[in-house]
Amino acid sequence: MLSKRWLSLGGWLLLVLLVVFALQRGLQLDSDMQFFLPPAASPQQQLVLDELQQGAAARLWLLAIRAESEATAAALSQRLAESLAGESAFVQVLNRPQPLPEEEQQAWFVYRYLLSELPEMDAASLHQSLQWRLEELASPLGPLLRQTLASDPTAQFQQWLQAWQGEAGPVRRHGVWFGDDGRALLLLRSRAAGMELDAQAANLTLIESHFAALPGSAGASLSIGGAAPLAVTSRDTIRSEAQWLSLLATLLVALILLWAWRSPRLWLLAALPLGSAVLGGLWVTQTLFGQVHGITLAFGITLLGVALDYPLHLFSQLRPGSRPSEALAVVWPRLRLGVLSTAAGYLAMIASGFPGLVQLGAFAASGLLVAALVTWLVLPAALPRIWQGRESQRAALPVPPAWRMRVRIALLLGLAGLSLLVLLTSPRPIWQSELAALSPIPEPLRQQETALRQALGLAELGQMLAIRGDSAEVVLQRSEDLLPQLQAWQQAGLIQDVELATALLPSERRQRQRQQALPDPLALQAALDEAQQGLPFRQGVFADFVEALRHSHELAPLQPAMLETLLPDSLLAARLAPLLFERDGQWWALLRLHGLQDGQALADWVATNSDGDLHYLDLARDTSAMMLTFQRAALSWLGGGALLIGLLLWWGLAGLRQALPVLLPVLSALLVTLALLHLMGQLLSVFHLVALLLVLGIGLDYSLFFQHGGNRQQRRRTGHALRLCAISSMAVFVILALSSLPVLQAIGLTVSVGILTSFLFAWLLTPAGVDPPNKA
Amino acid sequence: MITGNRKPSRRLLVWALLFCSMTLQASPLNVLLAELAVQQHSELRYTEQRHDALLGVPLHSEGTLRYRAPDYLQKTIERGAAGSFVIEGDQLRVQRGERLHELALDSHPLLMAMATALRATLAGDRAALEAQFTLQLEGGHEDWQLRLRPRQREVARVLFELRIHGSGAKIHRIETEERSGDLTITELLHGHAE
Repeated sequence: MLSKRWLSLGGWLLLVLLVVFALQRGLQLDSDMQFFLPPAASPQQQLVLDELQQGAAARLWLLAIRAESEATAAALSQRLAESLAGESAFVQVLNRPQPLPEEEQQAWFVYRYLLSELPEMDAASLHQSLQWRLEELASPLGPLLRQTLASDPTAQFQQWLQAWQGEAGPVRRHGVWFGDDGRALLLLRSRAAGMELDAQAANLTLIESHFAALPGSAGASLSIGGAAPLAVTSRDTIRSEAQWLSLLATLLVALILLWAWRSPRLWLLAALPLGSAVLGGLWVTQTLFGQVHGITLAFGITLLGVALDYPLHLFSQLRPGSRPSEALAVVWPRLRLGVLSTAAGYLAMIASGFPGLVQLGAFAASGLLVAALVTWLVLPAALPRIWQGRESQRAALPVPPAWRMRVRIALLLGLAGLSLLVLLTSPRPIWQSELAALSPIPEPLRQQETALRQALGLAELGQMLAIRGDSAEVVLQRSEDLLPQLQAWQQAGLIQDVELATALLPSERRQRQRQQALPDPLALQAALDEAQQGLPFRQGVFADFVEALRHSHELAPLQPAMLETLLPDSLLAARLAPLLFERDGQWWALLRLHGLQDGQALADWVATNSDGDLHYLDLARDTSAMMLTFQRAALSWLGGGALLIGLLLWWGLAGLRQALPVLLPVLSALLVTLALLHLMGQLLSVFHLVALLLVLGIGLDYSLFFQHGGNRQQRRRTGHALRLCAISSMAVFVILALSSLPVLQAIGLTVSVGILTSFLFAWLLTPAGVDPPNKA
Repeated sequence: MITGNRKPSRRLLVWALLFCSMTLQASPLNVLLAELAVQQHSELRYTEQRHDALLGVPLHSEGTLRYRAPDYLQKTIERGAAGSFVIEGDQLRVQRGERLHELALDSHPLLMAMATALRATLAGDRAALEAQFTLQLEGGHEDWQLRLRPRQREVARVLFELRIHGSGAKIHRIETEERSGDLTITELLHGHAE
């Protein structure tokens, strides 16, 4: 006996140490906020996800500096830009438009007659051009324009440079960008993708420390905006509030348990199953998936909250002078059934194939099994061989109203039906469709973000046309075919502006067309000679121009693949990267729309004019749609889990007659909880669903134990345990429900309402107090 | 000069600094720049000849040059070409016929250097001049020549040097010599439209 006891304890300790060691060596915690989105069902959904996570828009940081004077703000902006430019964390730090370096201008200058629209090259047009150039020579710009005058008298390259410079952007004062409100503005592009939150959190600290280190920054303030910093702030807010509330909840539960048992030993042992469950779940998840998701951990530990009830059931059955094994014998059959069916319900999520649910299912199911094993094998061994403590003498639970069982069942069925009716006929939406609504970012911060974006002339959230094809050439050509339509929209005011690759790099087809249209050298020379009449230019000074045109005839058109060879790390390639790229063997051209007035009109046009290669994407709309799909699917997996649980109970309790009273309170409670949440004005999100999973597990245990037979004493003790379980769980989740953060509130509210209804319903179905014949 | 016996070195240092700053203040260039800075605004007619290798004959133009301290400069071309060029702060506004467009000077180091040469000389801002050019003043007070050679490599590749000629607080002539050998001579006509 002694050896078995020590074997249990020693084995448990050894396993804990091994798991801790394994986790310490290899635990990969990552936090990707999009983890709970479904895997992309189509290439354009994949594009939406990629854009959201790694896209150009998600990497942008917007900075604004306010100081006592604009001159000071400008100086700080300049110093901050210089100081941050040395950091490899940012690929771009801008506080003014980025001019194209001399070297790069020279590289693309050669292609000027292929890259932009050709001017007329007859004698009269050339004469006009030369006249302009002459006037420019006489102007203060003379020395600058003189550089390319002889080789580019029609200022062909200027056209392309204008496309490069694009829109005017924010106003500039003291050399740097300024917003209307007198703040100096900076635009940063991080190396890390928008949703790599740990890297982005480091970037946030980096920027703040650089700013603080600037001389003169003490009297100035720096505001930081962008998708990434907002996500970091949001995560940190949730984290700190969750930690604070959990601490409060843990203290409260500890006090309740201490008060209930008045035994520090039991009090300490109560934490063993949950603690082991977390370790076990972590180890299994890490082993299966190679990493554990931050959200899996957070949600998983919430789900494992069921395991806190296991020792409560066991300890409540301890009687003075009895062995722990006797108490275990009373609770174990029900507990085992509860654990197995709950774990099965969680395992059902694995079949969903959604990465978030799969990990969560694996974590929670394995954790529960570990908790049950610890309760079964380790806890009795850790208790004294003969329990000497006092038995708690709490009053039994009040007896439910003495209605006939059929009436009680009808009542529950009626409530469930009513809830279903409420949900199905409600005029209000059931589901939360906006990602942003779940974020804890305070409204002022959100408004500041919007103001910063407008000041910098950035689109709010990506709205774009996406063209898919087999090669870069195909998608470039398709973009060019769309140009007349885009111009029509621009004139009609449907869109303000479009950012697209072909404005800087036309298709090969278009470049070849331009080559065809180039005048032949002899004709050009003749036109030029005639154009020079009456102008003071020397004969022959435009030889470079004639030669350049001749050379353009035989030039191989500039193509995306050539950029890197011609000039490594060019700004042109960097500018094109988010507009034209290859992904999974397919080429995409994105036409980013600014100032879109009516997305639906555009979507409709695309629907009728696309051959499947053109898509209208609205990141906000599309991710919402994907989230809805996910939530609906998750709910049906929850239903599937419940069904599986039902089957297990049927089998475990040897009959539908026994299984139904266990299952009915749980299912009714889930439905009633859903309906109550809806009536309270909550929009259901993935967080509610996770909370419902916990309600399912806890409710099942309540039901099983309320249905527990046993003698009067055992039932009284069971009642005591159940009351303790409900009170302590309620304490935790009511505290969470009081949180101001949508995420914590959703979980807290759902679980507290769910526990309350589960408890009441299970209690309502308590069999009449007749001692069953078989004495435990 | 040591009047006390405590900390003589510090006293010496103070004297040395004072002496240095006096000589610095009194350098001919500082005197000249200080004199130029007195003028808060001016409006002068000018004529300009550009001797350019591309052209068979020098290009002639004329117009009005307006200056307002500290950083407003307007060049209106009335003959030879037409247009108005306003430099204010870091912006260059160009108006040619109906077309108006703005350039950011700091995106064009060459334009920035040429604007600084004239503006900072008129404003007497030695620091701004030194930031962009090496300065060399020759001649006497009544017939001086200030040579400005660009420091920035990018600018020096195009611009060889600027020579500003004047007497007292008046600038008479500006010669802009480019690497290509092209030379622009701007004559300021005092007493016409002041």
